[in-house]
Amino acid sequence: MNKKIPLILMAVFAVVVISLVALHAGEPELYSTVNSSVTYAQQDPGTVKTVSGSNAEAVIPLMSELMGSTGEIVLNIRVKDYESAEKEFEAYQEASREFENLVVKLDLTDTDIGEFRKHNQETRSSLENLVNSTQRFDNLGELEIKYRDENNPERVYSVTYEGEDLSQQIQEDARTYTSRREPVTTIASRYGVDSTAYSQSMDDLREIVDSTSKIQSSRASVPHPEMMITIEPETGTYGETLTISGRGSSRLFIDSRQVASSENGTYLYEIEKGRSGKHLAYLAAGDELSELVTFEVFASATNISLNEDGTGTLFAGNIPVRGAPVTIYADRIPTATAETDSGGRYNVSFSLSPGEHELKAVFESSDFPLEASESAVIRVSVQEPGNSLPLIAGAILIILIGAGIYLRRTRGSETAPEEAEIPEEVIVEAPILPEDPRRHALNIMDSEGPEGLFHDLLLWLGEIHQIPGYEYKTPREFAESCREFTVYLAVKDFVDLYETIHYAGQNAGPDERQALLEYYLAALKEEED
Amino acid sequence: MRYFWTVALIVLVVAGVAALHLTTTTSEYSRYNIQWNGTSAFFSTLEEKNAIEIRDLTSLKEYRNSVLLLIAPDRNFQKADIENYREYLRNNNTLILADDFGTGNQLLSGLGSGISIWQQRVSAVGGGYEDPSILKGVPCKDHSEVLFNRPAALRGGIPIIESPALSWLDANDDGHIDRTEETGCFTLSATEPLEGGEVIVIADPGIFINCMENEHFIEEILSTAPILLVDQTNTATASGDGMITLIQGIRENSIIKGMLALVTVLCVAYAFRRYHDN
Repeated sequence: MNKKIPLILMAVFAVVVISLVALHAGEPELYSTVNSSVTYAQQDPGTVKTVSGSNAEAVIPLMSELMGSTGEIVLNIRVKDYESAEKEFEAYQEASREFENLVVKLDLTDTDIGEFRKHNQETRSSLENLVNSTQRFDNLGELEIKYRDENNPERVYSVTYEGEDLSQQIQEDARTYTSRREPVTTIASRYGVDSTAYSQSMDDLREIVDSTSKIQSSRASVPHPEMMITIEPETGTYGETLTISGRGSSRLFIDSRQVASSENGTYLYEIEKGRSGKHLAYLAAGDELSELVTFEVFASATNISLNEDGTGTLFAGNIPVRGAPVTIYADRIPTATAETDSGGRYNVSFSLSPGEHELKAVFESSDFPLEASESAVIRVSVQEPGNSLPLIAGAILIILIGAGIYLRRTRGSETAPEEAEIPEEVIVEAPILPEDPRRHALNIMDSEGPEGLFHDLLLWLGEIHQIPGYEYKTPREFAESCREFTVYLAVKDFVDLYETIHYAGQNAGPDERQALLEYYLAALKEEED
Repeated sequence: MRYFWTVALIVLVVAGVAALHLTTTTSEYSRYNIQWNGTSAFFSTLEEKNAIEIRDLTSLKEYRNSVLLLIAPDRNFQKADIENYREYLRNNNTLILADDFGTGNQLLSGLGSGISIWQQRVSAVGGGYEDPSILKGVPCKDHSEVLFNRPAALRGGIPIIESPALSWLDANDDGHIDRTEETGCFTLSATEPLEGGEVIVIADPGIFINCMENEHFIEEILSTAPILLVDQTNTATASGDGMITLIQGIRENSIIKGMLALVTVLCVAYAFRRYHDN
């Protein structure tokens, strides 16, 4: 009875434990750090990698610095302190680069900060133009005084043209600069960045534009040129050709830069590189200049493609874009650059770390009258060099073949003894008595001696009576095995004599050979009966 | 007898394991959960601080100049409940509500608070962790730094703690800033004077769970007022499996505890007598 109590207790506890386990059977939970460290509401920080040195805290101060710098640069331009403006611009460029790298590093390109970065890139371009254009425009004033003093009307005229060109450029850059005011200040205010200096720069820029326009309009009182110039059509897009016509041998200037010369005064100007917007053109023949004409280039939409092999194309409508920079982004990080050929094709090669990657090609350049474009994102998978699929497949194949061979061999070696152990179904044919037993016995005796005769008797009787292991028995054992058969006495006589001769190490004499022969024949006769 | 003692040892071990199993849980925020997402450590601290557990909201009217902690409310608030909280605030008390996606907004709107919990998760770049939803809050005043775990954002009130500058509302919960998602700096904790008292809202009850290292901030909260109350009427911290509820019920009922003690003594006495008889 005493022994039953612990058993009952054990049974009760077993039932309790099984019940507890059964409660969780429907929703089994495996408690490992990996699969139990995240819930909808929480994540175990202990299982998440810490990140240090991301420098994310520098993003907002850099935005502030950039906003402040623009104000400083424009202010220096307004007060004509171009040296300080250039220095400020260099510092601003450095901060811009740092900011852009940080945006890419922190994967912020698709955010409003990424948008701020784009606006800043355009602002930087506008400011660079403004610093250069205003400085050149200011220098023109000194040249004008010089040429007027020299009484050189042609030079004065060229100064006026270039001034007009620069004045328009300044207006254009000022327009694009101010057009970004709203989106930039909106993003800045979202992050608490002070945009006072940036907003002030808009007012300063207006003063600069007004000032240059006023100076330029005072220069306009130059004699009307006699050299004619026409431009047809007056607007165009990338890849289109404008016909600019003059008279006689001349040189063509676009935006104050000589772009071609002609003997007959006719120019076919294909729109390729250059910003979109208004441009100025005039012809020069010796010191004679034509009047100033304008034409406008409209920005065209582009279409860029990217293939998995790193090739792709860039088109503006149906026109291939040549000599254009293409940037490949791998996982949103600029990874490689290429330039399109005359067919708008590009080919780029770069290496990627093993794993899944998202690639896209981006065209973005202010050197072309073309809008920026991005290719569709393609996903590529880079295999581990030492763990590639063919290698794994090969290894598995080798293992399978090896295993197959092993199993086959193992089975072969295992089945062999089984086959040996299982006695084959042998059809035992009853030994046939020789037609002439005496002759048969004499032949054996002559050729093999008493041993041959014994072995013949052994095989013959062993087979007939199915004596187990008869072939391994000694003569005496064999004789004993025959005890139950009628042939026993004849066999015993044969064995007795045979042993006497065999173990004595003597050769059988004629009498002994004859006796053995007779015993042998007697045994045969017994079996025959 | 050796057989008896062997069995007794096995039974003891099994009973120990069963006891451990039955008195713990994996329920989120549960005070009985000793895993990373439980609040067992925080409630141990509360016990050390002699915090008073509130199991009947009508008892709140007895307190003055106290702080009531309400962490992760998970059931709907009744009108009567809200009136009890209102009464509590009128007695110059402070209500600290820690909630993100629970029923905290019901209480706040019921009390007429200007603070509301935005039902979207805040993530931040540069929060110190690879997962942007784990982030360090930026104190607006002289508070300690707080580590938040997938917090929500708050609207209204006077900000006490804000998210880092590069934060966003991760509407699709993918850990990346998408163009459609709102970016900026979000309030993670705010305060507001209300009904003569004060309401403090923390947009993440996760700051109290075992795996978070917010000891300094918790210490600041616990030392806000001389009397510390912990709401156990409507909170995920009181949750547990059915067995835990039963066991906790037994633990908290003196009569049942006394009866159990009596039964145990009788069993031991019986075993002792049988041992001597043999």
